[in-house]
Amino acid sequence: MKNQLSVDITRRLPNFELAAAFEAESGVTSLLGPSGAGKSMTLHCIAGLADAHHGRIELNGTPLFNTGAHIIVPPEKREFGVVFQDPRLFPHMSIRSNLTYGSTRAREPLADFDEIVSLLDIQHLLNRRPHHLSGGEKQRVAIGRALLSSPSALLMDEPLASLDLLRRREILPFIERLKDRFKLPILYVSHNLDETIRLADQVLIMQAGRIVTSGPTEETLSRIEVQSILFGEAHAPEPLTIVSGHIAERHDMGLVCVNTPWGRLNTPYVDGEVGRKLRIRIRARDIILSTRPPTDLSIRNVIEGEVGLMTEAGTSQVDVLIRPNGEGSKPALWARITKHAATELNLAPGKKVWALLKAVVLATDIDLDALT
Amino acid sequence: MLDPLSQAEWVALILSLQVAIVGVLVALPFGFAIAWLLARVNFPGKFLLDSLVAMPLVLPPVATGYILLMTFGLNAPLGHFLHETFGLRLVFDWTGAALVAAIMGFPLMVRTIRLSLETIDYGIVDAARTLGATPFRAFITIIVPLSLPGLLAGTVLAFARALGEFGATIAFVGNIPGQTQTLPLALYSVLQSPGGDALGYRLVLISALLAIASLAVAEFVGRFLRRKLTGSEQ
Repeated sequence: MKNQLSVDITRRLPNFELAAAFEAESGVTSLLGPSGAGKSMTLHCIAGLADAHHGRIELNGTPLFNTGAHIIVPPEKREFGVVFQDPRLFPHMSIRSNLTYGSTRAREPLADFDEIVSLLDIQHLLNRRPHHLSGGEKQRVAIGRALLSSPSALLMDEPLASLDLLRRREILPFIERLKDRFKLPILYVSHNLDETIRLADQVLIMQAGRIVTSGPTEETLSRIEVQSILFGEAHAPEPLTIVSGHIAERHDMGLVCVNTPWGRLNTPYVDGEVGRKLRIRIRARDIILSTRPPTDLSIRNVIEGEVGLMTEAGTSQVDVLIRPNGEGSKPALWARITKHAATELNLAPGKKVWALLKAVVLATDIDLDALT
Repeated sequence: MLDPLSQAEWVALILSLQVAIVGVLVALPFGFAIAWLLARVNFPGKFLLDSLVAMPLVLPPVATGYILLMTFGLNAPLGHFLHETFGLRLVFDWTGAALVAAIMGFPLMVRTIRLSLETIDYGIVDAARTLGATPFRAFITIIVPLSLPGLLAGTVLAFARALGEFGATIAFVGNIPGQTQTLPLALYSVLQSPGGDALGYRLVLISALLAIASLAVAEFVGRFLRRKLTGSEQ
């Protein structure tokens, strides 16, 4: 059976109206947007912890909520595993009892207890109380508890938001692992771009209670209008390009070679085997443009392409979209240069350029929070 | 046999315990329900209920006893009905004294339980629901255990208050040895009789020991529960 979560709901509050409609399939769907956009509220409505006023919610074809048919399934019968921002462990129970609290459901388990416990690396905590655990450990237990309730889909409400940077780095690989291990739809609410870049297969961009756009992660997040929603207009957002690739080889001296749709890119050390998928973020201001093939430079990455559109960014700068694979390049690369340079180089749509990128400015998975 | 207490003192002591224990146990389910309403439910007239619950605390106890007499006296409709239907005669009976104990301890009980219910993080109840728990299972497995220290503290406070109850009791059920004469009432009688002030200290001592013992038990059990509940060392 196809794993699919289908949502189309509205909820009216005195100063806010939520109207969310989307579908999420197996893999991670990130619900991204500024705070106050209604992301958490959407998740709570789906889980049945808040009431939508109108619409329908379906999981794998089963209606959970349908105002037309007067269906409101209570949260305990919705088959979601929910991970909240705070771990919400039961303080009076051992970790083991916390983990098994939801496994009374008469459904086929996703995996047995031991596998989930070792997947999350919490074997050594089983007989302790939540009180004695670190924030990261608690959140791992919360994830395990959700998985052990045999859910048909996972809802994660900013599960890393309450953790510091180190703890976040500690947990992200576990979430990646469960995404690979279980073919579940995972709805992942976040306002952190880095988490989304690392985890999401597709993104839903939410603003003021509405899903304004959605699509595959790289493509959607590389769009300027999406970036201005996420970062706010006031910050005169600098365009960001996200490109995905696979680790092709590891050089000595730590350099890692990544195959991307633009050709090979060299980045500083990243974890992982050859073949591992990763995403690279490139900030527009880190790019140097040349109208001739560069020689004799320390630069490790040169991307050949043609100029697509050019948009003004403030009074003195211009953002240039470079298409490494000609028209319809996905993704295309944003570069920010001064108007002065653009004029001197005679840049115009269609002109051939070489984009120069120092290897050290390429941010990969491990550089969480480098940008936000 | 060397008996530190006289026959009359034993009778008063046992009656006191009986009245207070029965009163508190009867009050407990109501106290929990009302504390739950006040802590977790918003409804019109909540302020009114809150004030009504606090009444026995601020009203002169004799006035409370008088109101009870007017309500449960055999000539009052409700008292008449209870007596005719269930043979329950509260006036001038130890059951009436237990009712007084329940009512006088009620505000303290409700307040304490309410406080403990308000400190529970109800996010974890939501979490329990998403894990498949019905509201009832969540209540039994999460809310009851977590409010246990408050439940215990509220019960002990109400019990201690009931042990010391005087005004409403004497107004409602009188001062009948072996029937309604609890420790404070016995002390009052002793002080009223000539030369009684010399004997009074024994009853004061018993009352004080009883109060200290109940507080000590509460403290001990409370600590144990808190350690059980959170696994913390304090």
